[in-house]
Amino acid sequence: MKTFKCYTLVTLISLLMGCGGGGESESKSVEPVAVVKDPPPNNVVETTDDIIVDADFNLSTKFNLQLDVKLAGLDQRAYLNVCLTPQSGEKLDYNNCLLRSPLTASGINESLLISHSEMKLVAQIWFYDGSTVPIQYEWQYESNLDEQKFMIR
Amino acid sequence: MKRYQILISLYLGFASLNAQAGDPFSTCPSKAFLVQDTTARLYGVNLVSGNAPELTSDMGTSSKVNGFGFSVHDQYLYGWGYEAGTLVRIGSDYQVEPLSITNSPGGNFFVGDVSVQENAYYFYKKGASTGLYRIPLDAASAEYLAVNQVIDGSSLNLTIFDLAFHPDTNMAYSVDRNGNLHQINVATGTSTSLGNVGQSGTFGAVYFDVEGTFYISRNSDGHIFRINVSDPSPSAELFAFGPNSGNNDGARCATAPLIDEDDTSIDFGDAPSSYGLTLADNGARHEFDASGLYLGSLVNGESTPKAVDDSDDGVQFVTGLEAGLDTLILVTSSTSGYLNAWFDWNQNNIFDENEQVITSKNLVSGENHILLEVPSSAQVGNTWARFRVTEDAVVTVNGGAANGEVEDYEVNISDPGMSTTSYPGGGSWVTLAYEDLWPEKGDYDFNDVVVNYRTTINKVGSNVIRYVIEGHLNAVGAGYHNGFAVRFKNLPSGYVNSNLIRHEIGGALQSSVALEPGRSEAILVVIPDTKTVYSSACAYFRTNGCESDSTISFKITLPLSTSIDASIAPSGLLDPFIFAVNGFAHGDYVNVNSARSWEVHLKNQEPTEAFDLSLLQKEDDDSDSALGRYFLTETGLPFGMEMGVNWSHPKEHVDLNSAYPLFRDFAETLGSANPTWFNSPQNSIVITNSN
Repeated sequence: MKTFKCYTLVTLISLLMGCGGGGESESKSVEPVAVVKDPPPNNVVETTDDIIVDADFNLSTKFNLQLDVKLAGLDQRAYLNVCLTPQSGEKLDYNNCLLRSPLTASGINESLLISHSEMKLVAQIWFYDGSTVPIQYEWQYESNLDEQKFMIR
Repeated sequence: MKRYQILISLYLGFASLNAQAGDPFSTCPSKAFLVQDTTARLYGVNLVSGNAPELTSDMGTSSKVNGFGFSVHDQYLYGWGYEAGTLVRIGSDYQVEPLSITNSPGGNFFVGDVSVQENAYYFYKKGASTGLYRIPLDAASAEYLAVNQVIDGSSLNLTIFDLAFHPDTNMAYSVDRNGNLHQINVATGTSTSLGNVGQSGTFGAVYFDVEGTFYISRNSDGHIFRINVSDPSPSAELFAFGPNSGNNDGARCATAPLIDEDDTSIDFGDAPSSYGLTLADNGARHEFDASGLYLGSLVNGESTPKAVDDSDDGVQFVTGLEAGLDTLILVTSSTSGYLNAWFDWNQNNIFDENEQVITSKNLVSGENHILLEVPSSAQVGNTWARFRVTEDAVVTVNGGAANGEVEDYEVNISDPGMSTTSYPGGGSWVTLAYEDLWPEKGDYDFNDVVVNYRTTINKVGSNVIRYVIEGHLNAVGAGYHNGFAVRFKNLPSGYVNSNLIRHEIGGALQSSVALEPGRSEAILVVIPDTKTVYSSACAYFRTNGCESDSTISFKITLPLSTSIDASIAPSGLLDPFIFAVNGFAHGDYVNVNSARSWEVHLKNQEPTEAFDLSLLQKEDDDSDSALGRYFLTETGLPFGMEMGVNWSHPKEHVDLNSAYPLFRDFAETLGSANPTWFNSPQNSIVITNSN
């Protein structure tokens, strides 16, 4: 079967580069991005098997969001919910939160995992003092940032 | 209209009125009839809820009707009409029609019913000059409408206000003012006391259902109780809150079930049966009004309780339920009403009397913020809470109510200070899809095993104390037997409190141990064999037809006996993988007896300690452990993928790139293009998942 694999790759490279060379078959130096940007005219991707993916790209869309919450002068019990933003006209669903946690004066600094970049979040801080309206903050993905942060002060 | 009818009756006499009688009822109704007031008004009573809407305020009589009974023989109501002082018949027009009886004892009677076993009306009044009487109702009988005394009222001396016939015997039953249940043999005119049922008062309306369950309605407060008359020690169990009245008499078709199968007017709870769920349990239930009083944004009904009530949306647990601390809940009501609520704090699977936490609280229309104290003695873990909203202040934890709604919630009681982190969210899913021919490439339909999935982690301070894994098996497009498992990297298996692991598949608690034995790291076997957990008329599961087959839910709760600091604890997606099931073939490289050593993980996720490393780099696999690369082909294609939503998977043999044309650019640009490619399927060639 290894032999078959070599033939397959040779064929693939022949198609892509227009040249042969069985000695390259074990190489990991395929540059998928380059191939995409400048595909030869005969490079037709019809099936998944024709797609070339960078070996280190695991195809997941999840990423980390650094949550940093600290309320100055917090001297009473408080509770933090970080939940998915509801659809327009709907109420926040406390069963669909990424984090639910008591909030103390020392704050919360935690890395949350976000499954994809279209997720939008609402953070609410509730108090147990009879108030009926929470403090509320919103977050959404910012494509220009290397690291996503949600800072609440 | 009434005056017109009286004039007609005077002119034509009773006999000719019989000829003009209204039509009989078209069915044997599940609802009961209740006649009240000194000028008779007729109500339809839903014994399930106690709701009793008025059917008519004009029965064509100026006085009372009592001794009310429904005949299963001709489907008319019969009773004693006080205006005419005789037996009356009432049809579907609800109009009183006096019948010309012979040998009438004179006077009026308020106790009576029609037998189920024989076509005859029985009526009764205690006292030496009256007694128990029988009137044949079979028009073909020579004795039709001829009154016959069964026994005098000093020999049968009962202080009763109504009686009802059992559907299967010719015995009548009643409860006297002291609460004594009497069984009356109407053939002999004798009675047997069956014991005291524990409730007293004037029970002016009594009924049977087809199961032989006896219902009694108390005039003073309208409470409806049910009694098992075959119980050696019969007792009256509060069943529903009905209408009260100084003058009350009831009738019901005793061969009808209590609720019709197509009746969707009743909202039931959805807590486990031990809390009171079904009619047999005398569970909490409400005859709702979608334009009236309910919790949240909607209410709906069913003839038998649903497994999950999709209208339970009125109570939001804004903060965690921490033992010994206050918690804040948000209750939304459609209009003003009263709220009562119970929590099973001690987790004994019932709501104890001392577990009512909200009593007759006034609700305003809209949002109501309520602060509750969670007892310090509350047992940590999952339990149930019940919320009931009603127009009346008082309602019990079970039984029927004529209005409002019941909402049951499974809640988690935590240690003080506990936080909860969920990926991708407490109510959201990611999807895991695997190809199972590894180390050979598959057909890239990515449906050999498809699960949706989320993880939840509980921490107290910085210490992880518990994990929860849950999801659904959405598809099995494989011939091979694959299991689904999760590895907790760097979590020693000895840290797990294996005795307290709770493992459910398809809602059923599993007896097998989910923690894989003999491993140093914790590995949970979530589904031991995906091929054996479903039943389908199709060769595969939800990939090539039979798409409406229900997905299989799973959930594992993994408490730790030794907590682990969050900085080193596994988190997020964890490491979900599929494995080959021992005893089944799984390709050329897998030994049937040690098949478990075959695994497929997501791309570049290293295998577990159970894995046979010699399998790497066979066939199409291009793993390189030195570079941290696993389970990929030479062109970087994976054997397992994570999609960031509850994904609709390709049908059998449908190539991923055909089903999702945006995938290619996503894959080839390191994810910079089309980052949510999984939201754009070619709908005709995927299986939609909406669980």
